[in-house]
Amino acid sequence: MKDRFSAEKRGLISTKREEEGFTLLEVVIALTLTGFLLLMLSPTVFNLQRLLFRENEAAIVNRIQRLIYRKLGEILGNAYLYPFYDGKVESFSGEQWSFSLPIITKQGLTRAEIFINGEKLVARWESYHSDEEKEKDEPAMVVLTDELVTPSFSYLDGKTGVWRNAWHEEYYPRLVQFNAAIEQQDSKTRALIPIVIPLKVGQKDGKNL
Amino acid sequence: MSKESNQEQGSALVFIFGFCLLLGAVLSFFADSVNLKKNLRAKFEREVSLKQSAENLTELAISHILNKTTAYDAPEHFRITPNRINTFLSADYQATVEIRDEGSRFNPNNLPISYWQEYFHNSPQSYERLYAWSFRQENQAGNLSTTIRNNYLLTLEDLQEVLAETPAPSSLTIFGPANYYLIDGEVLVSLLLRSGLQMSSVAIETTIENFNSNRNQIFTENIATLLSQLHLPELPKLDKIEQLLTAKGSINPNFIEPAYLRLLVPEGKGRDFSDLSLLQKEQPFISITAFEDYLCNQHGISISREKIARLFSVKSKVFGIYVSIYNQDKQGLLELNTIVQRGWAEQEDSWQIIYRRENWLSGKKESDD
Repeated sequence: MKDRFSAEKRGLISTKREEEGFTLLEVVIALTLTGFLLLMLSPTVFNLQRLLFRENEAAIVNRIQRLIYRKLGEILGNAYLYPFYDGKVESFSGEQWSFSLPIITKQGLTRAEIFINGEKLVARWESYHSDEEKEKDEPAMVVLTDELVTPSFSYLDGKTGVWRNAWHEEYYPRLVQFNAAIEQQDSKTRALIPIVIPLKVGQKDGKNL
Repeated sequence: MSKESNQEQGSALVFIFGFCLLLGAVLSFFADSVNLKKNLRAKFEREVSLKQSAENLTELAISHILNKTTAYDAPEHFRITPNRINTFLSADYQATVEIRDEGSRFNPNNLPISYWQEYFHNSPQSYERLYAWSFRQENQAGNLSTTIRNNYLLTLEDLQEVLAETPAPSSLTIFGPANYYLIDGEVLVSLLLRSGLQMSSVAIETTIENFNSNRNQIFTENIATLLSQLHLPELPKLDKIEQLLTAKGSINPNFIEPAYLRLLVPEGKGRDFSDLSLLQKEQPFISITAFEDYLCNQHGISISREKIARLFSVKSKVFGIYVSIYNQDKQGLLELNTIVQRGWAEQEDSWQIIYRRENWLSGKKESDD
């Protein structure tokens, strides 16, 4: 108590100091932190809008590309080869804007169709079994994307090695290709990487072929 | 004045920390977004990689089967060592590859009802469900059944549903052509219709009668010759009916189950063939003669070599390849079930995939989460 009093008297500690504004230390810390943060963030902050836009557009295209690849792979990967010729189950048929084929799902034999409707790419399933309870388990139709530009399917004939725009053969095509572009928000179009999915089932292979 | 100043003490730090918090929140939002995109991409890449591994292992199994130089197929030939399997997988995953002989299993699609009755005598419910499924009317109106089977088991899901067993019993199959010497008139007519032939009800009845009365009188491997003996009003297209019907032996005694063998060898009824599975593993039949000797010497069954050759072959024709990929915690990720038919167009080293089913399992979802 005595020390404090004597120090105050000598002017070493001022009781009025707190009323005079920020201390030098506070200002230095504040400026340093602000400067440091601005320095770190300046490229991001300055390009943020452009960066965000570009990132978002690229992400959308990648997401659509992945989604289409995955769905086509799922459908063509479970393609079913109907072993009979009585016409009860139609084989693979395809056009430039759609294809359909029998596939196997958890619900049993199902007809799957992928078709282009304007800018939309739609997947549709229809069970061969008429059990209504089963059909409730899976959505009958899914719109995969609605931003497509000039989409088209083509089919590789394994016998001739020729890509065709339509398929009405009894045997299955070896590959199915999907080409399209995506219309972006800035009205520019960005082409998707061509999606090519093999159809394994029904293919005849051999060493001497 | 003094009071107000006191309240402003350290306010710069508060502003700065507030600003830092705000920036931190913005940054963490972007970091999250980037992280999410990265995870989605990684998940997709993992999925593609797993799928490719399953494809590669299936191809490995096919080449394993086709590159065997022995004149017979036996269970020991269908084993692929884990070391070989692991070369197709990254260190994070493990897999099993099972090759099975599908053509030597009991096939309800291709066998007459009399065989069903005997085979399912311990499980009459299975027989009834199978009958109801196969002979049901197309429009499913009422309980009237058809005279010839109208509804085949097309997928393994069908088999599971009909037998109310999951997975479907490993002793049954739905794949492969019918054997001419095992069918009856009803199965034959059903196959003719399935090959695209149109038949009137009179023609159907006549054909069934003709076939059943003249059954097993002519022995040849030529389907065209056999069909020409039936006086059909119209012959089916040969290339199509040959996909559905064969007159060559296709059941491999190295894989057949005793219950099925009992049906195929008439004198075998009542025998248990308990020594068969051990022989298949340790001393497989290297030829049809060896199988004939086994039936004769071990079980006193005398059956002509021609008759055996019409049903049996030590070279398997229809294979099942089951690939299962799982993670280090033994959680299943992906199953790929493929059925391969060998020897189309009379070429032993040719094959065709006739069935394929990919199944993503719950382990994948958990690892994705």
